[in-house]
Amino acid sequence: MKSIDEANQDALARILAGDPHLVDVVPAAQAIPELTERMILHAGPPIGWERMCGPLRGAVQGIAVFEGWAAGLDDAAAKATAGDFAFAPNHHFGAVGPMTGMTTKSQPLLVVENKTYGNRAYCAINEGLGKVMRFGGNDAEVLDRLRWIARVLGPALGGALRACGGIALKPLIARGLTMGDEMHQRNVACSSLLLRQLAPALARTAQSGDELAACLDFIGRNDQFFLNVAMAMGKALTDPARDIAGSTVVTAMSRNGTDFGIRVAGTGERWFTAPVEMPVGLYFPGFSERDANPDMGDSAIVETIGLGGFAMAAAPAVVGYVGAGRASQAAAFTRQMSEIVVGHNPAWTIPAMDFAGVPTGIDIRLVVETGLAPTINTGIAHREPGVGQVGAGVVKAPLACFEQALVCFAETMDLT
Amino acid sequence: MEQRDDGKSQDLLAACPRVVNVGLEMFAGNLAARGARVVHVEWSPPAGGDARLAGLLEKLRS
Repeated sequence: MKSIDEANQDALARILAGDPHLVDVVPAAQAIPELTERMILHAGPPIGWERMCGPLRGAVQGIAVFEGWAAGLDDAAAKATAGDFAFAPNHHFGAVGPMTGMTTKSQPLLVVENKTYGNRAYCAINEGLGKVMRFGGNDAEVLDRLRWIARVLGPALGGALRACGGIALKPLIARGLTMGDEMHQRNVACSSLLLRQLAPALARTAQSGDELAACLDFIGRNDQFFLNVAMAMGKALTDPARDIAGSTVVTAMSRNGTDFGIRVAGTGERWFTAPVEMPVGLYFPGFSERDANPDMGDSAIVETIGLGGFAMAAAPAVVGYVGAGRASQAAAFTRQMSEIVVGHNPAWTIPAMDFAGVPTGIDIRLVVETGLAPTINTGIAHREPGVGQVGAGVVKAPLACFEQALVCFAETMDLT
Repeated sequence: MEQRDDGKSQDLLAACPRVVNVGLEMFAGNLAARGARVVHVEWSPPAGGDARLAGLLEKLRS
């Protein structure tokens, strides 16, 4: 039987061997056939309407109106209370979603294929900043934008990606790390690099010049456009590492605004949850921590593969944006995260750390032993439904998740 | 047996101390505030001192 260290090296090897490509954009019902009428996938571990936080409820109300399942927001809330909607985590269907993480049948989903293992993962298209559904926004402006994404942008991107044969993401991330991105709260380089590769294919496949201009303008104005691509990539890279007996490597970290959850290779599908923490960060003008909702989103999948807070040293500018200190302290975050992982990724290196690879493969044993919780860069949503993003910050994964996972893992090994 | 003393013990008492502080950072801060040269080493007992978890970690070392 393999030792835990050997099993962990297997898990790390599978993550590092992945070859993710952005290959398509398709309607969610096509990507996930189980996604039927009145079924809503959300970020984080499982949760019912009664325990959902304000922004998650706001997003559920909005997406129900978008799908035509409710006449208005109040009607949607009444239907949710009556149990008319089925809720499930994105992670249970090969998908991820930022913040509230709404995924329903009519939304177009980015498709990332891991060419090494043949698995696919999905994420909705990033809507931009401010008042958007992923932060709990749900008014007419938010819903109209979602309709345009479903009607115009999604099909245009899908056509362009099919025409160009897809875009390899591993080299794109490597380049982005050298240009100041950490792929969670700073995606300006990767968004630009992606657009640079997509633009010729978009120009060839767009239905009209106006459509092309609208698509290019939408992507070009959104510095976070690449985040959702990075998330689908993270899911596509970590899924092959699930179900490795004897491994203590984390395969998912995720939050729904109420609970934080993790999954571990050696314990399969099981979630280990604890109350989610409040981010510490900076607020947009007019907002403060009194307005903030606790942390949320599947986006911590990027930290699970060594990006985001784990790659902070690559992105000194983001340290100021998330209020985590001085730019010169960026490397300290990455060094600290290096203490809780089983290895580093030689394909994704950080110039400011003498081209050291990003720390990869969180080991629950090391988290519990050191007390060093994974650092996650995150956006901050208003705690009330319908408002949107109010800031950005840093949050720690709750240690209790890792302690529970350690106890369960020891039981699976008959070591308690 | 005769102990050699190169005057280091005298230096220790007479000069400003140079300190390596392990664990509680407050001690390093207090010394630094009084002008001492301090290097702080972050350290805490395994699993924050939780004996049950520390025991499990010991069993899970491979």
